[in-house]
Amino acid sequence: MPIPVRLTGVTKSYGKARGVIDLDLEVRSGEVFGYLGPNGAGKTTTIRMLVDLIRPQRGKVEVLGGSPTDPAVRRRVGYLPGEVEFYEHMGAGDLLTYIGNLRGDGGAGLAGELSERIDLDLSRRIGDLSKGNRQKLALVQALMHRPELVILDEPTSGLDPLVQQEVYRLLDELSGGGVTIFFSSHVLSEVERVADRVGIIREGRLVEVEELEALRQRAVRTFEVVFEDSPTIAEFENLEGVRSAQLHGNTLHCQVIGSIDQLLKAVARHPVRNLVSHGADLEALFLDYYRGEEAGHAE
Amino acid sequence: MLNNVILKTLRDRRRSLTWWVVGIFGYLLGIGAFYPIVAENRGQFEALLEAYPEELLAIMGVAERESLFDPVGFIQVEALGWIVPLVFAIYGAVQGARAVAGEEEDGTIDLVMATPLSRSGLVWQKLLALVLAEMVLGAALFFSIALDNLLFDLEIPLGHVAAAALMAVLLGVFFGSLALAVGAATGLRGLSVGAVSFVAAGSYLVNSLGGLVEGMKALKPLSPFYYYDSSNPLRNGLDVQHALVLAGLALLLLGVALLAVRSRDLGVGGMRLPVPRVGKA
Repeated sequence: MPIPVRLTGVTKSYGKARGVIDLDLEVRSGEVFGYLGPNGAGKTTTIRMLVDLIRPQRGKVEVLGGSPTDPAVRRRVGYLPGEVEFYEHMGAGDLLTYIGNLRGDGGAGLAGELSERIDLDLSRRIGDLSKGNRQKLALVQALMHRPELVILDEPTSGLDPLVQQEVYRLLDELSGGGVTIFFSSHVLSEVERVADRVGIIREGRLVEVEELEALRQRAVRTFEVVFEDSPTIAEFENLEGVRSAQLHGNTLHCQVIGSIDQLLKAVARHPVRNLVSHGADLEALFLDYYRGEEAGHAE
Repeated sequence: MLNNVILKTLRDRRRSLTWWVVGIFGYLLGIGAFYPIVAENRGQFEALLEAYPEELLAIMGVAERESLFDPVGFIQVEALGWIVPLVFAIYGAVQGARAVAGEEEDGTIDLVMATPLSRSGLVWQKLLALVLAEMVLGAALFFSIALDNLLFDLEIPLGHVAAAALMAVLLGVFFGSLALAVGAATGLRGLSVGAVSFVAAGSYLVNSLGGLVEGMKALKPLSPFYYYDSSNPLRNGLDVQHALVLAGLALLLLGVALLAVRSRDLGVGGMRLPVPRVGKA
């Protein structure tokens, strides 16, 4: 099995603060890789290099063991563009036929089946489709030729929650069938729901690549503890993994990264009236990565 | 009609192409209908024209004063001298600019080029579609003059009509491939249309007024319009050399387009041009 996606020292810049810098990234065969970052971080730049719409200034882009400049490689890839644009006057079914023909044999094999599955009416003119239906059409064209690698740029943007769930199920199935999925998102919950592994990109640099599970362990939990008596802040603020501890009267607010053991033992020394914990909050960790850059500027 | 880029492009253009064809028929039949009146008063008109200075006639696109009012001269002055080349060139420029740059600006390039279609495949198929569309316009020109022959007794040899139509097609293809090449190199549709309009207007003037100024005469062969009608194909039949010059230039431009699109980023809002930025980026 060739490595589905491998970027080695890839740099692509469009002048100031756009593009990617010195990117090394490897996506494993059969995994669902979530490419996470805020808008403008370089997600779309990375993705458009994977289908040879743009070319790197430095470094090497490999897709399915070959180069994306090779049409035979692109034949085995399904791609959903970020802000997808269609030929507005065409029928939805006609578009799939056309794209299928450009791909050659069996290029639109699953078009009918997939469209039915996500409830897309192929007889309609594309210009008359809602945002959600356009996104469905984009998804069908990306998946209908049984690609080995699926590259999705913000696949669920504009979809209502029900269809989002259907898309997630579809991705689960594809992944179950051995298809490698590389998808970008700026929505963490989506990545949490679907991905095996996550890469976080910020301002063109990959700041983290991690199994979702490992990331979750490092994620932040928020605690709110109401005591019967009045402890002092000193008892909590220097505990391992505990941070931003604040005591208001007899209520403690704090965040914990990793193990909660130390905090619980400290809390148990006092009579406790109530304890509320907000589960592993990847969002907070995620935001930390984003903020990191601002802190960097301040230094 | 969705088998490849050529057929898909023609399918997209079928409605607008129909209107261009209707326009060509309408115009040429309208002009033809006037000919019997012109023929009747030919002596008077010729006397009137004697008084016109050479320069004025040149600006009006009249090359041969003596035969202005025979059928060939009439069709030449009223149609082939200006509006026909204009129509074929404009059609070519607009479609050529849409070919690659248009798909980029519309954002549809992402869907198309993520398929196994190669960049050179896109370019030559788009150009071929343009050639075929121009040929449809050429056929309309041929049949409308043939119909004039039939309805108004113009008696222009059909071989010459075909030659004139072919030259119009080649002129349109030349400007089309120029627009396609500029679009393929820059990704900017507006720039392509603009550049072609500039070249077309300039070279038209060089060809039509070049005869008046001694120094400019030598420049006439630089103008595509010179190859289009200096041989007067409607009167003299096809000038193969001139036809080959236009076809060769179009092929050359195809080569430029193929090279230019090969190493470029597609759909990134066009090549960076040294234009000062206005407002916020």
